[in-house]
Amino acid sequence: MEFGPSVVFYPMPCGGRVETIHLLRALEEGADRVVVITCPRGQCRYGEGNLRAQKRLLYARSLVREIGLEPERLEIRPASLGSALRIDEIIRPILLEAWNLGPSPLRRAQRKDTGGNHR
Amino acid sequence: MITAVRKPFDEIREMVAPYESVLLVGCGTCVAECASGGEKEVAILASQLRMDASLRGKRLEVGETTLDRQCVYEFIDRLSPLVEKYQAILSLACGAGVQAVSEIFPEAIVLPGLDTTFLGQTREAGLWIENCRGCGSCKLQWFASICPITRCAKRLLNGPCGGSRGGRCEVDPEVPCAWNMIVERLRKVGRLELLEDVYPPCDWSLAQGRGPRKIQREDQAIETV
Repeated sequence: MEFGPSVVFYPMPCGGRVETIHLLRALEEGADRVVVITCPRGQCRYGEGNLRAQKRLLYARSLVREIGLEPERLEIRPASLGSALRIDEIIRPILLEAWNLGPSPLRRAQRKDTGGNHR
Repeated sequence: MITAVRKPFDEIREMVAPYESVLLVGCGTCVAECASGGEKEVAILASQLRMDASLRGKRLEVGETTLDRQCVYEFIDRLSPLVEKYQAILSLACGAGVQAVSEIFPEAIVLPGLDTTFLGQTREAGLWIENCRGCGSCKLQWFASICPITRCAKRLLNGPCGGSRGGRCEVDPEVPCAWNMIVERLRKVGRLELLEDVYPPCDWSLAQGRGPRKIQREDQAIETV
């Protein structure tokens, strides 16, 4: 799949593998928006991986709020029910949605630090 | 286990504000078990601090390391090559760990990142409960291994207060009545006769009133006296 250089895709074996620090690091690296895509509720093949991802994302949001960053930059989306969709078919509509928050202020701050040569 | 919770972020931010480089030091024992000061929590707080500094246009270098135990010299000594590289140490250990690090590196600024709370157990994932007050004279053999000093709001040693309802404490209905649990468990193990004895009050002089306590054992000491 190809979404261009603006989207970085990290495949994980299960939503339960997503840790709070993964979400924070993505923001720290300058991501404008982090979307965790999990199996639909009740359909985790390992039991509760999607629920764990949800809890960790909510915790990460509280940490992000503490430093004054918009918690909405972290999101969780269940894939469609009974989905045989390819991941790009799940991601494409998300990318087409209106996004009101704009670039991450961290990205702007990093650009300032590095004289505009943000990676 | 000694339990602790992370200090509010604003308080931590204020503590580290005077410095441009901070070493976060976690502890891999009790506070790792209660998810407040282990390797994961060090990484999370370090990330938060870096992002916070960046958002405020402040320069802050944050180092990360976690010791197996932050209250024992042999482990703390591993910080030796790192301490001088940072202006301050932010310790994610219990109060004992913070003080131990500070004692071994007296020239270093050592700041507490956690609020130490109580001695307790992990009841289930994400739930820790206090079950020992460290009174200095354990009486669990009389009370079916349920400590009334810690778990009874009134610290009663000779039977229930009479205020519990449905096995819950009248002071806080969220909490099970310790005496209800004691009686039920004594019944289960066939030791109800223990309730017929009269137990003396706790000797609090063993726990407080004489400054910090210490334990000294010659058989464990390296130098012979």
